[in-house]
Amino acid sequence: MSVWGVRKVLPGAVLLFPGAITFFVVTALVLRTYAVDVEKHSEIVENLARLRELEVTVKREMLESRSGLSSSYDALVETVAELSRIRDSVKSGPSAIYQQRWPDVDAQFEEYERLVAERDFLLEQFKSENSILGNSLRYFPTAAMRLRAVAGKGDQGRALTALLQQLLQGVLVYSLHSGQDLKSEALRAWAALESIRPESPEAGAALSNVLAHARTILRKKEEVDGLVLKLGSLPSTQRIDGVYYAYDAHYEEAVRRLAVSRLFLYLSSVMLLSCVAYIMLKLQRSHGELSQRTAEQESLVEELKRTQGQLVQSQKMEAIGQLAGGVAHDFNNLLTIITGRSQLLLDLLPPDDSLRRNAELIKKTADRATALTRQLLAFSRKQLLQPKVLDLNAVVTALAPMLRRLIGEDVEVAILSGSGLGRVNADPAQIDQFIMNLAVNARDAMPQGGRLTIATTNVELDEPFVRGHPGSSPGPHVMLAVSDTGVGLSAEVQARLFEPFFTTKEPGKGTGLGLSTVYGIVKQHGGYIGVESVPGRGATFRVYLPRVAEAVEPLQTSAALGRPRRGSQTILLVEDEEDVRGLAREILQGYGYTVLEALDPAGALRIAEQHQGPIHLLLTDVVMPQMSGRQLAERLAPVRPEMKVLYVSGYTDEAIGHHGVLEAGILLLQKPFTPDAIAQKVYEVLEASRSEGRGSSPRRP
Amino acid sequence: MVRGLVNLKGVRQGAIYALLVVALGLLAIAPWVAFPIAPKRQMPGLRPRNLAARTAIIQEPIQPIPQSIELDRRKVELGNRLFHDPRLSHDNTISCAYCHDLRKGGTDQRVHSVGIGGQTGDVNAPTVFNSGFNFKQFWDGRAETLKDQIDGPVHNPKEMGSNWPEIIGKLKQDPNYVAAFASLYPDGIQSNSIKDAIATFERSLITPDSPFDKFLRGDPTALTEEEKAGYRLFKEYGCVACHQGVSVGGNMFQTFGVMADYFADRRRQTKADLGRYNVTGQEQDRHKFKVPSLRNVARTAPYFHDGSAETLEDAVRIMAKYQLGRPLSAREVELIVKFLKTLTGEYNDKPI
Repeated sequence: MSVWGVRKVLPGAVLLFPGAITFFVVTALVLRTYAVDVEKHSEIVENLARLRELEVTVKREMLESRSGLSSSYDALVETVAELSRIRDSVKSGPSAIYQQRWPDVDAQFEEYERLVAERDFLLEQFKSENSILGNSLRYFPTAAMRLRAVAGKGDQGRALTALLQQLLQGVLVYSLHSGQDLKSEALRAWAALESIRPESPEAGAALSNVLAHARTILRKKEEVDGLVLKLGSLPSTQRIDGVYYAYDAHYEEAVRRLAVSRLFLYLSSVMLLSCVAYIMLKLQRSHGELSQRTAEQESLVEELKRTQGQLVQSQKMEAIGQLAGGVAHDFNNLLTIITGRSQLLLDLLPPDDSLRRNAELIKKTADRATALTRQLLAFSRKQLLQPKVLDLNAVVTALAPMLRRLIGEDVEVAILSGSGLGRVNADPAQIDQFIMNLAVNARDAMPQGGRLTIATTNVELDEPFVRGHPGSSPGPHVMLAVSDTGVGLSAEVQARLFEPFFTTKEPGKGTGLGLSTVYGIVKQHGGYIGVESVPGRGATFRVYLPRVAEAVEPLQTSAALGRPRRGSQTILLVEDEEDVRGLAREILQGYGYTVLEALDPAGALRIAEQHQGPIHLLLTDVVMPQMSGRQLAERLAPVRPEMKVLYVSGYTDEAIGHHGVLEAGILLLQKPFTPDAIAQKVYEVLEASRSEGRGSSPRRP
Repeated sequence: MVRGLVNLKGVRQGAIYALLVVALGLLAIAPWVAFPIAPKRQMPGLRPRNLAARTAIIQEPIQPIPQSIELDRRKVELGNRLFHDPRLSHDNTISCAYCHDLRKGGTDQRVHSVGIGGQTGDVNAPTVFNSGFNFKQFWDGRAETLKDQIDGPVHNPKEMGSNWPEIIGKLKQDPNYVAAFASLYPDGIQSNSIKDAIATFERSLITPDSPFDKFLRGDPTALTEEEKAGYRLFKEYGCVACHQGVSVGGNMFQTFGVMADYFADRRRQTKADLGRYNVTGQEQDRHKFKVPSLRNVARTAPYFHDGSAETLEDAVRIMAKYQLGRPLSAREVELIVKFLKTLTGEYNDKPI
């Protein structure tokens, strides 16, 4: 991450700088590579080679002319002309290619050109002199023969002829072999001949002609040979080599530079490549980061939506619960009156009275209404819990026979009890209730029959599960799963499954409160309920209840409700609902108790102060205006320390319970109550205090 | 939808990466591909000379004139017009052809030519025919090429007395020239292009198919016995020592007066008589002149740089005396002259 931090400090603009520099370097290097033109280079080299060849050719052709092998100078002239043409192109070549003059190459070339000028001059001399020499050599024998013909037969003629023979021989041999002795011999003969004055003018003319040509040969031969030697030894090819080597050194350097340029070009390319690769990497990384963040955002948004949905859902559930709780509270009072009055009525009517049927129907209907109200309370989690540590396997096993009866023949029931199952802290009645409800729900999903599976197992809920299932909490849980092979649930149905009065059943069948009750119970127990279903392939409800370490408490079998017994104690009855108060008073008076009535806590306080006799029991409603039943009890405790307290309530209240769980030592009578129930409960409470009182009676006067 | 877009983006991105990698790979190998360094060349050794290029009529010192020469016809045409255009002279009176009249054997057949304002030149005008074969131009060889030669008469105050800016200015007023030059030379009318056109025309002035060339090419009937005898003398007496090659001369310099002092005998001397000495300043070059071509020599009288020989016979005799150092009989002179007359060739298929 720190590496990333550093990289993030490097912005793209910083990369632009080396990138631009590399670009310019590459451009400059590419331009430098143009400094070497292989084709032009070979043209120059070839031209130099051709020059060299032609320089040799000039020498050869000169020698051919000298030796008489060639009788015209055309070839020589042509060669020289071609030399001159090629020289011009070589001269302008390198500078045209390399856009610069190389002083050493130029100097070498100038030296060569000086040599060429000298060569041209010498060559022209040679051509002229060689022609003269050739002419005289060709004519000399003819001239000699003409002289001999006119020399005469006299002594002078003979001497002339002899000397002429000597001269002829000397000159011709000298012309073939260069030797100074030969030349001096010929010169002696020449001098001797010159001293002769022929008698006939004809012979004199012929002699001077011979002497002129002999002199020309002797003089020109040496001159021409000197020219040939000079021309032949001209270092023209060396000069061309000098040009070549000077040029080649530059070319080599250019090639070397090119190689270096190429290396740098490669390095620059690599650098550019790595720049691009780096940018790409960065781009890819940031792209990855971006898409990761986008995904995170998306999942966040999704989670938010889901949470919002959950929130809305739970708020809705909460609102419905509030409503249901409120309704149930009022209903409980009403139902208490109806139930109580119909019971009283039934008690008064003789068994064969014709009105009895009506009274019984009223009571039965009121009982059904009571059951409904209880379910509503269960859903709204206002039900008071009396939790115990339970083994769910034992609960299920105990429930199994009843479940089988309830479900019927068509559905097979399988119970898979998890081994070593942990305990839960729950209200056994409520647990029974939700298992029954789930089983009934499953049965209803399988009108054609099928298989119902109840499975239990230990589970450990982890963070991911909790994230995926809002409302659940992490930690060890016991899971109870109820699966059916029925019609399954659509997504829409799943969404509203736990809403009260939501039902897929025909109107009139089912209350729509079954699963709502389950939901409420599970929630109230701090658990979580989830459903999985594929339409057409059944559904599985999974209930997770927090696992506890405590040992199982033995189930207290509640004492059978026998006929309530009568009593005579004084009871302070506090109830703001007049009809309920009236009913309770009548019932309790019917059982022999003395009832002091108060319609509110203030009245109760007054009575408690003013009443002379003992008050054995405070029977008070919990939820009242001004002051709760609990507060009232606390205010009365110092005044009447021996007075027992029995609360009456339709639903939980913070006054007497905590999170729906009744506080220890608090006695509660749930609304709606029947006359028997209230009589029984009051009796129990008073009896318990009597036995206590008996134990402590010796201390009392 | 979003997923699909992401996939598409991924594919495109992959393609761009691949392209970039390929492009950079190419970039990396580009220097080797685009700029291969040739293996270092050694100077090639001497190659055998293409001897076929100079097919020679074996043993003969004189070679026939080629029957055709490859030149740009349009340049020849343009050069022809310029050659005959008097606007090349200062007063618009003298054209090149004035002194090198193609109807007069390419010369003016005067001892000394006449330039603008009736001025007389210093030397005899040589023929323009076959001048392309000359190894150098002018009697003293001071111009290396035909193009260089043109500068001479143009600027010579005794000849055309003009200069290039003047000539170019005049030619540019002629739309025909402007169009013709524009189509042949990128630079249009310039001294270089004018000279090039004229030189190209001059190179076209060759005179092949003379009787002697026909003889050389293998027609023994092309020459009479006397003419053949004249050719034998021409070779035997050494004329051919200098007058050889295609042009029968024109490829070397020679001193005028090898065997005898020509100028001492002539007495009156001019600066032009110094010959090549005027160019090189070398003592060896005193009285040296370019050996003139003997092609069409019968049509180019008078002879020598000073135009001193009015007839061929005179010229042959003077040459024999001063150059060859031998006396010639009247018969020998006659035979040689007969031979020299067989050197007259044809221009545009007509004897010149």
